[in-house]
Amino acid sequence: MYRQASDGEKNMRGYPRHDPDKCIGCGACSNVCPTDSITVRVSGDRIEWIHNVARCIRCCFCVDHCPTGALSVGEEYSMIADSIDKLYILHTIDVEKCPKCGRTMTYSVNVEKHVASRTEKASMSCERCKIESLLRVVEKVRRV
Amino acid sequence: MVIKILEECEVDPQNVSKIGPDTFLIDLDKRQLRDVIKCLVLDKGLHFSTCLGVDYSGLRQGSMALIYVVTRPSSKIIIRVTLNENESIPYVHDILPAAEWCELEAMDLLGLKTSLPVEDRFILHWGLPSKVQPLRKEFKHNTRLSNMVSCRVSKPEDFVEVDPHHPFFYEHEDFLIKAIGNRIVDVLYIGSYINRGIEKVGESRLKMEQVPFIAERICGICGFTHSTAYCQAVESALDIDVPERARFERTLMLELERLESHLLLLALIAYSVGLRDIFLGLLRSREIVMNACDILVGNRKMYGLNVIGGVRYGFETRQIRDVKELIKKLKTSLKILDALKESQELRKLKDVGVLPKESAHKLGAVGPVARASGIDYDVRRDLPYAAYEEVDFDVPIMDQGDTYSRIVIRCEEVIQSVRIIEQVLNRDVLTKGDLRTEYYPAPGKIGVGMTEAPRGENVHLVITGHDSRLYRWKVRAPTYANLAVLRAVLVGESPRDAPVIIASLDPCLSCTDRLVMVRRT
Ligand code: SF4
Ligand code: SF4
Repeated sequence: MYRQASDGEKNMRGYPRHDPDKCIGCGACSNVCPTDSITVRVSGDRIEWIHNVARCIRCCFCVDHCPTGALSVGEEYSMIADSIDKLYILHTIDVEKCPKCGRTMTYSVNVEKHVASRTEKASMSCERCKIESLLRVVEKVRRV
Repeated sequence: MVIKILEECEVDPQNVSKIGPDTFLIDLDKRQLRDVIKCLVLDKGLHFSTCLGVDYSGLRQGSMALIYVVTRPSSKIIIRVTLNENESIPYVHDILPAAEWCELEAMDLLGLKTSLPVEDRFILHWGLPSKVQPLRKEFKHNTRLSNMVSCRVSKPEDFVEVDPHHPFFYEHEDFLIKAIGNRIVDVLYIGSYINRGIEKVGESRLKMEQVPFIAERICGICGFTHSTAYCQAVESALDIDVPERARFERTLMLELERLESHLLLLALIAYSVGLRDIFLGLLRSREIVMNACDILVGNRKMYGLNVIGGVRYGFETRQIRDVKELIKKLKTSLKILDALKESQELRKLKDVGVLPKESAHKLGAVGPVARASGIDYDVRRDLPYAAYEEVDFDVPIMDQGDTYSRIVIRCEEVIQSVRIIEQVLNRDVLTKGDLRTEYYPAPGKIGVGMTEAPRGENVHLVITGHDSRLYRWKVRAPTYANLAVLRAVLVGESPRDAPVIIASLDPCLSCTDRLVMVRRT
């Protein structure tokens, strides 16, 4: 997994590279990061993945824990920037809509790429729909 | 063997429990502490490593404890004295000067009281109000102190300052040197300007598995030895076996780090005595070592390799081959060390800054400083860790205890390190096998991890807590122990020699003060 080149700067373990097309917004990276440099949050119908490069210590522990391979060890090392805002890397990812009721869910559209079976796909619905369907089943059982 | 020594020191065997293959835990009564420490360290000649205070209120019912760590070849002895809240604490630093700093630090950080008249603040800023006791469990790690500090810094008038900071490495510390004519009569060290409470962060904010990366950043030169010592402490507390491959990888990186650290110091010493060509030659050799690290772990410093139970990634045959080439190159370029040893400029440092063996033992000196004074103690050989049991190496010892031998002994160690690296690189296990072992956290376990850092014995003590967090984490960097000898080596010398004498102790300030800052957004 670790890039191993043979000479000079190309070999550097830089800060992690993030691929928004693979990220599911699970937040594992922000949980394991020892310095809290990654923030993953839901705002509206988008997931924001924010990386503070100045705080990152380039340990790449997040890369070890990303379940989807959205993170990889990057080559960029330097964090020189002419304004503080440029030290933040912000990626937004669309949030999945509940296939049943259309409300936003807490994970991104990319989840579908990682879901293998049809049953798993069918079970994808928002919390509220899940509870409602459960209640319906309970109701049915009770009537019987 | 240990039990026998303990019996001779009148420790009740019922209070002794074996908590690891080489670790003993003794619960002592407060009144017994002084006698036992005196007997173990001063009469039996065991090495005093460190001491710390623990606020046990989160694990047991509201009590404090003082923990002393004493080592002898092949075993570590942890002495625990449990105290009630607000009880005045016992102390040993009047008979054993090596314990002075750590006892004062425990009093400062936990607000413990003793019958001795000591100042409130030792590690923390003098202006902090006395209710700030950061290592108590009720003190939150993110408390803002900025509006509590009132600056009042005053210094005695008859001191001459060599420099506002380190006279050699330009770091954050003061050496106040008092001289009469051309003779130093007293030295005062003022440090801990950059203590930011890494131990508190490790105990409160971080999970156990995240700490190795923060521990590695305690020091910019010998960081890997800190993360290894931390991992070993947790491994010994939770009884984790480290796979052979991981142990060899650790050994390899630890030795590369030692080379890197020693070569930097030797180069700077050559520069300071006026040997510019040797300075350049040594830095060029150091560059080879840095490149080797770069090939192996993708970074010149901060290897990011250690995790609890092993290492994160393995090396490939291709990398090992490249590194072997580099080590061959390094061996040729290290011939320059002979020129340094033989040089007139260095010979002038003979009999300058002498540290006699007895004071080295009493003051708790470690590493090359102690070995140059004839103390035969090397953690790699006496308390073997990683894969040091399986490689051959010599531990150079010298008796003079002067600045010259402290420098020469490092030249010898460089040669030994290269020898270890060559043996490790020839092992097949480096490229195949398991990398790490799974583990299950359990609360309330104590473990001590020790490594021989480039500057000497490095001690990490952990007490595990709930939620796979640490309950207490203590870092005792080698310089913390070695700075205690300052007065012994400097008094009586000329102020002109002070910088090179201080440099020969190889002080590392960020280790001593444990600088790391982690902040929540
Ligand atoms: S998928 Fe990877 S990058 Fe995205 S939030 Fe999870 S761990 Fe982070
Ligand atoms: S490389 Fe380390 S510090 Fe940087 S974001 Fe990843 S886990 Fe956090």
